[in-house]
Amino acid sequence: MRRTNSRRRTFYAAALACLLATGCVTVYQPMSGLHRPIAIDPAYANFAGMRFTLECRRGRDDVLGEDEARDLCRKLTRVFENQGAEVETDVLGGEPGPADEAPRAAPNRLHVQLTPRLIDQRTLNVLWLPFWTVRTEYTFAQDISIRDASSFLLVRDTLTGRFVRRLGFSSDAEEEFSRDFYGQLSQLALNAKLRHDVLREPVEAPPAAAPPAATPPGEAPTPEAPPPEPAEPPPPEPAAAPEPVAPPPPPEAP
Amino acid sequence: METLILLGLFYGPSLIESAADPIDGYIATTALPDTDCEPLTIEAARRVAPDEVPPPSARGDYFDRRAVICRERLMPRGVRRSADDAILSTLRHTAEEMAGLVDALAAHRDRVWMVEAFHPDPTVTYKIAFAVKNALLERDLRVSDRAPSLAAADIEVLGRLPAAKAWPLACKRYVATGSLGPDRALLAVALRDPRATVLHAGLCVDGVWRWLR
Repeated sequence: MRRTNSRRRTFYAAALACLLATGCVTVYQPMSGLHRPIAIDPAYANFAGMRFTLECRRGRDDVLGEDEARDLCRKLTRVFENQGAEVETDVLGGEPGPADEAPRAAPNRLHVQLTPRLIDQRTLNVLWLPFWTVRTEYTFAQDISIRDASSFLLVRDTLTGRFVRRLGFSSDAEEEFSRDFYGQLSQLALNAKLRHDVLREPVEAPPAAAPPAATPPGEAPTPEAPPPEPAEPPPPEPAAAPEPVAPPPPPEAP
Repeated sequence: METLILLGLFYGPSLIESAADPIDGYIATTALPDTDCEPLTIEAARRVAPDEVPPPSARGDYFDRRAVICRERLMPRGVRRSADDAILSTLRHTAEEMAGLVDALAAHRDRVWMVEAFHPDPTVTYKIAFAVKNALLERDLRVSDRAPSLAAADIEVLGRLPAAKAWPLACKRYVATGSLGPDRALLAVALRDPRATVLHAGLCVDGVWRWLR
């Protein structure tokens, strides 16, 4: 009788432990985009003086709930503000459409748009019982596009990852994912900022198509249409070519 | 005995499912370190690895299939600097994109293209220039192995100017010194910021400078 009670207690304890251990570990696998090395260090003020507008979309069929999207925007705001940027946020539903390619009302800002997608989701249940899940995994993607005030696309990328929630004892999936996600987003924002600065540098007008007419030796060649110089003094005229030296007279005949 | 059955019911399916998983699988042949994985559709997986992904049965596929392709990295993590690793791992794609931009310039297609790369690391500089030249050659453009040069005094002056003024002035000096002839054009590929992982491409033609990307 005692042995039966003892075995029964052991059985119930094991059942309780198994029940409590269900789904207590999350394993994270970075995929395309998230595993890319980065050069930026988010601990520095990389975006001092910059302004961003973050648009956190909820994705098709509301992959992210409104609270989750708002939470994501709040965390990303902190990431950018820690790097010296000024950030505004906007939580929108659905996916981006043609209206997002129209020029924005807020100049001098970079617009960062995040749209989540659920690529795959599957669960594994004990004895196919729907309420008794022992393993859940889902593969997600975050589409990121960064545009300037005229809606010119500066950077577009997709960060893909996978989470597996299974029975186990320890994991630091959240920290690893946060480090990868925030690092990649910071890197994309810096690349967009550099591209924006480069493409805004003044462009010179190309010279006239026809080549300049041939000039006689001894005169400095003058360009037909000097290109405009933005706030620079005109280039100094090249020195006049020296006159050709006359050949020595032939020796006189004896 | 009941305990063992209970443990098997709870942990068994998870262990079987994760046996060949690339991230926490315990079969050594599938748990590869330093791999880059990306999910694919089944159709794309069949195109990439037709011997690995069988075609669907004529009566339908009774399994819910998914595909993840994992490629072992050419260089393990930590061997190269992160910034260099980021640039070199996408160098092929970057070089092809730059060559495409140059190819689209129909007015300058007959010129001989000179390529110069600007990067703090000489080894990476050489690799960037080599990749871009190859990409231009693949598009049947004429490419020169030479690079335009400037006098030491020009370099000293240019080094003191802000980047927005230095590049256009360098382009004018290339043409003025005869280093870049009328039948040639220069494609300059530069890393503008040590924190960046993108390369910028600039064009110098007939003394006029502009950025392409």
